[in-house]
Amino acid sequence: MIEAHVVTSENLSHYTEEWEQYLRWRHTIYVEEKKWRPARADGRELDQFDTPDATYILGIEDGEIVTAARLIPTDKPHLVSEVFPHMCEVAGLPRRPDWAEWTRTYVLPHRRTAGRRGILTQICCAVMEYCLDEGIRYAGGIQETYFLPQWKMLNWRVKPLGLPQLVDQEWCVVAYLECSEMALENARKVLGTSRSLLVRRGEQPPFVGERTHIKRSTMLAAASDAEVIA
Amino acid sequence: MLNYVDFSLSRHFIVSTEKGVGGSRLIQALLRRARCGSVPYQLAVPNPGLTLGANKMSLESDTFDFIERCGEHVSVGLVLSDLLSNVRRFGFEHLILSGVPVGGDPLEPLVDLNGWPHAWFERYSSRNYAAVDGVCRYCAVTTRPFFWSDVPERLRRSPASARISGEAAEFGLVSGYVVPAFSRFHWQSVLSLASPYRRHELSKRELAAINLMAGIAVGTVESIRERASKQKHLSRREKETLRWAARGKSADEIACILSISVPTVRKHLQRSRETYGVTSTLGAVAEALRRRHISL
Repeated sequence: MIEAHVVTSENLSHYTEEWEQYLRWRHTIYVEEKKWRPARADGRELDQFDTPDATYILGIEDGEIVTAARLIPTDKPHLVSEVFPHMCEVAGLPRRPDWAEWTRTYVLPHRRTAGRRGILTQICCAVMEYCLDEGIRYAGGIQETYFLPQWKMLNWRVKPLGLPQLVDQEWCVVAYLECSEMALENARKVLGTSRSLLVRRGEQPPFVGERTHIKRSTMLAAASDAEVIA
Repeated sequence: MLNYVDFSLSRHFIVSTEKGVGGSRLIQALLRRARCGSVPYQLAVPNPGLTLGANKMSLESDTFDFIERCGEHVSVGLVLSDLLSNVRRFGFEHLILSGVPVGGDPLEPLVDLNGWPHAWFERYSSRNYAAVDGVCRYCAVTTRPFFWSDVPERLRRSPASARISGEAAEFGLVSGYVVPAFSRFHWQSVLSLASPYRRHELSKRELAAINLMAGIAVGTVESIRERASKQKHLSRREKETLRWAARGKSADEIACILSISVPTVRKHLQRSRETYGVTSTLGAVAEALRRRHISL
């Protein structure tokens, strides 16, 4: 089972090496595998939403990152508000601190399995646990319509915000998941565990509510430090 | 004489005849006759004058009402009838929601919702058409929604596949649309919709609505099945016995293989049948395979 570490700009200093690994895997997956983003010379993938408003859940197993998730309060700029606002035409674009956009979730290629107890279910369970801890009511974002059934299989309630549309030839939909104790319990049942997956180290600012302002450059700097150390 | 049947409207079929636009009962009668071939018919392109405002919104509210209701449906039968009544508005009469058979697997144990004409399903599964039907074979290799007419020529034009589509048409499955979806139980799942009409004009919004309903329906059906089978677990010994039964071994043979007594084997098989609420060991094998409680 993964350890799901909660990482924000405030405790990033505890995770310099893992952070570097995380960004490099993002480059491997989102640039090289999915080709969503242009290549970067430094081999790290970062986008305009990697700001101090973002919270990362890094799934670590035996000291290696195997999965991750990024959560951004929807009252701050996020992928759907900036790029796909037209895909929420039925329920409206969410702009609330207790609605979190959930992006950049991947599982390392050699750790992907079809099984229900796989790493993907573990990171979903960790995200649900974090959301409940922090008072987040809905988490979600743009996703391929093809994968919608996976939420129901965890017995999670799915709330699409608009009709699907074609994005790069794939049908995608903006959909949010209702955060509830029941949803967490169902995910834990699937995993056959009752214990917490979250690990919190250092400063933990609340997700809902004001954060102390830290410059975005801190995150980039932390990544370069790791490189120097390595 | 019937000129146009317009499926671009979400709620009602509008038929223009020489005497003007007809009511729904007349339309249904005409459609029935059209299907029997006694009335020439043609599908019209979406009529822009009739698809504005209210209809656009109703497409969305119908879709989202369906999604809402899916959260409450307690049986797969309810999902099937709800889904059928929704897709009828788009001109589809039959549907099947199923896991995709791969490697010559039989279709029957994979079917989650069966809204095909009974006789057609019987024929299709008993003759194992799934293995040669171009539409079904294409389901195994694409994750994108497609019309039957989009199936690549090499699959669709084989003599066997062409014959199957001819037979399907006799049962009223003339054209169709398929939405593949992720499944944790099957290779993948598909919602396959069939229409008695040759040509189908659906707008992007209508396709979007169908795609969304398909994704929700697949998840809903699988979660209902999961809930239903939650307390139904076989013991290790029961699984082992059933696995040998699935390979065609008799109770005597299984007793010999597992070094247990014949009555014990019978007891295990009986328990498996009870667990799945079926009357034959064959039925228990099919259920256990479908739910992936055993594999071969």
